[in-house]
Amino acid sequence: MTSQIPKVFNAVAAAIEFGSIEGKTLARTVQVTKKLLATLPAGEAQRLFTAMPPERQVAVAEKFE
Amino acid sequence: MLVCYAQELKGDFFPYVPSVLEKLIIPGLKFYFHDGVRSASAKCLPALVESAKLANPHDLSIPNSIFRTVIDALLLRIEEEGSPEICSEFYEAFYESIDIAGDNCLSAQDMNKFIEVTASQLRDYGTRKTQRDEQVASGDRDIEEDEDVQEAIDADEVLLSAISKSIHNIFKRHKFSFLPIWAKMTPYVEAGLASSEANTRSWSICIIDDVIEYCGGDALPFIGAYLQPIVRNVTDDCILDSYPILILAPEIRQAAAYGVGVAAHKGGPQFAQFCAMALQPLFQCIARPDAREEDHVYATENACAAIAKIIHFNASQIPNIEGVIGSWLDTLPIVNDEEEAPHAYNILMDLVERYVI
Repeated sequence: MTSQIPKVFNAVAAAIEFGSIEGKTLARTVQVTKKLLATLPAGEAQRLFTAMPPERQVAVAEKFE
Repeated sequence: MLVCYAQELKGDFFPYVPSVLEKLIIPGLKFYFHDGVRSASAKCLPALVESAKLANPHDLSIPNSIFRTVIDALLLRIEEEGSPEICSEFYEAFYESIDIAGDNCLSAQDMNKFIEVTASQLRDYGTRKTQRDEQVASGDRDIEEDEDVQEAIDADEVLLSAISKSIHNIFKRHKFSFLPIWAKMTPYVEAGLASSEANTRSWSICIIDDVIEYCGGDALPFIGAYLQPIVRNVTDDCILDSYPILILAPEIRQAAAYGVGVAAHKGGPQFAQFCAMALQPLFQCIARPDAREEDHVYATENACAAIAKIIHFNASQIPNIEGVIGSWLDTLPIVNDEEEAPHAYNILMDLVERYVI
């Protein structure tokens, strides 16, 4: 499952960008995904983030700040 | 105006409900000189039921009496109604009133009568459709150009929708107690499943979805014969050369995929084998080249959510669950279907917590 982290992060980021999840589901998804990203080696989460399209980065940054 | 008064004043309108119902609305339902009167009378009924319920929270005999009058009148009118447009209004009043009245509001006699009158309406629909098909086939009418034909088709679609919403609300309010009675209309559901018309076929699948949703594992003896057709409808395998219209019908795949998800979520162990059998067709549905195009994306996302529900709720018959989870991750994201997305993402987070954190 650990090798699947980029897929999970991208799927979560897309849902955030398009607003398909909100409320409790959104809050839980952000919280759990933050913990998931924390298991990655240093700098890896940032690398995944910067590889996303700019609009997605803006949406993700807003929710993950 | 009366519809507005009843809807806005709610319980405060109750002093007028019995007389309005008896002297204006019930007679208005059969005011054949003007369809607008019949339509407005039908629209008023759920508001009157709600008013009676809100005004009498401690004495259920009063709202029950109003509800009884409404249901008896509507079932009688549906039985006698020949216009699909007005009949749709009667069904709408029927299913809204049931939802307002609450659990177990109908007797077995009411439910039997509903099936009887609905079977009659479906036979009439079948006759109208056959006549239309014959006129089009003979060249007498043009389905694309003839506005009357198009209006008639639209009216029948609204009627079918109102019937399926009525069935949905009866199941919602009566669960298994409606199931043996509903089973009397399975010939019509089977005919819909075999139909070459996308609308009719997805209508049947949606009704089967409701049966599974509200009756869970108990539904299996009643709808077991339809599970294989539902799986076939998840993909285009259901298409025969003679049915080219279905190629353009993603709503069929959407209804079928949604049904698999419901079976996984609500069906319990009785549906575990079915869920395992449906996995490969669900992945096949998502792998279509046009899967993310506007017309198809809801079918695709329903298939994605159905796999999530199988993984989470009903995976006992799946040998290689970790492999399935890996493949499922490739089917994400869900970005359009706001009803299914929360299910899928909550299940995704459960998996993350279980396997990683």
